[in-house]
Amino acid sequence: MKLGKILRGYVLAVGFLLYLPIFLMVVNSFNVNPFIGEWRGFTLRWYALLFRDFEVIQGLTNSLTIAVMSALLSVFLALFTSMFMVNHGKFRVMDALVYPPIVIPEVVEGVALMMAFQYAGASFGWLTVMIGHTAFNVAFAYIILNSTRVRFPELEGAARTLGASPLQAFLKISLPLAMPGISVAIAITFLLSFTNFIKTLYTTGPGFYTLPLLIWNRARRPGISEYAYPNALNALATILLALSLIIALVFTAFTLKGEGNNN
Amino acid sequence: MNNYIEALTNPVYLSVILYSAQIAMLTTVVTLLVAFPIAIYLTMYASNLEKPVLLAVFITPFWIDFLLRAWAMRNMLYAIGMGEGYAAMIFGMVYEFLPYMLVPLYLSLSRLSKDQIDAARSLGASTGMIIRDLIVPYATPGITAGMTLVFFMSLSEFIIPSLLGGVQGFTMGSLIYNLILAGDRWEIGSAIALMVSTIVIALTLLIVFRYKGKVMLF
Repeated sequence: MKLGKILRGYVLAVGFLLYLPIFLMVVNSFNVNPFIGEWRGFTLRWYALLFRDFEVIQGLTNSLTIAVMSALLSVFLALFTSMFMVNHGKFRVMDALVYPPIVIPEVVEGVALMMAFQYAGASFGWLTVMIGHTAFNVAFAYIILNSTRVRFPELEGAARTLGASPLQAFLKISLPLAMPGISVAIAITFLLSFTNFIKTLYTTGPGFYTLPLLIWNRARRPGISEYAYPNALNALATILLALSLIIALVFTAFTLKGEGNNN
Repeated sequence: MNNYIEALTNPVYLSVILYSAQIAMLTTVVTLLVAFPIAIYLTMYASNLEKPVLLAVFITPFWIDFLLRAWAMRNMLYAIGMGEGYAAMIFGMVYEFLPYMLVPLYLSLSRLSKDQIDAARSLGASTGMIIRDLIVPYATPGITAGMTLVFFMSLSEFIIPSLLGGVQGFTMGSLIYNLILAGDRWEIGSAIALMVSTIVIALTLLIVFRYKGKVMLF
């Protein structure tokens, strides 16, 4: 019993420490002081500054474009692979093939992608970044889609018997039923692409940067300009934090709903 | 082939690889020591009300961008006057990798119920015997998986050493970056990268097959 009490205190302390840096980041993004530390009053100045910051707007546009395109493309590819695999259940090689992209260190994956683009003679820029993101997103999308149900042969068969064409049966029966899994896959691949740093670093070309690359550059040299004050960066980080948490919440809500349906 | 020989024999590359391995080993051991009591508490002491809340508390950071957490950690370390350096780098890596150790530990220990321990105790087992014959065997798959995961993630980690390590942050991630993106010895860089990935894939497959269903989320 006594041990339980001690452990409880320890667990709470670690949990507190886990969130302390994030809490400080959020609080300081409203601090008049441009540097972290002493509280000098509340301000929204750092958030207002973001809207005038050309680099942030450019980085955000680039990140959003890449993330949306990569999420849609990878889920599209994974969906059809997954639907095909349902009808060819014995072919287990695919399942083994999707794990390496998830466990390989990111640096290695970045190097491999860069080499592949180099040998293909591609010019580095938004397209190489987008293809690079899609290459690993497909693996995640495939695993997520495979853990939900994407094909309903018996229902499609019934629709066909009643006179629907194969396309109609797919669009009106299977696709709507598979939609929860597809939405989760899109949310996750979007988040993975939007926050990716290492692989973007290795696959990008001159002049093309995403938001994580911009944060990285400013985090290494904080305070070189008004836009790069630590607390200006904290404001940007807080917005991104909110975005990640919203997507996490959507994901959790979908998973819980899915479990409710199964029971 | 010469590239592989050079990557392993050139004292400069070799010392960076060994330095990274040393940092990764330290990070792994510290993370295990931090995570183990949490896993024990979650599986054996937490009430049914407490458990989902605490699990959410420890897993939510998974969702927050790695770079953002590294930046937040750097802020805090500067605010408390610790700055950057060896200790800051280890602290940052333990902070980032904790969930990756905790989840496999929790999953493997959750197969052991408190009733089993009470039963062993009522049959006269000492605390030492309970740890040796019950907790350790049950925790082993989780410890192996968690340690492998954290070791390889910290071995090739690039963000934390660069942001928090200062001059002591030149690890394998930075070496590969310098060889490939900043320098012109890309063939050595890719040789190192390929060796690391071969080892990682081999060990992952080993763990997946050995402990299937005991430690994995998917």
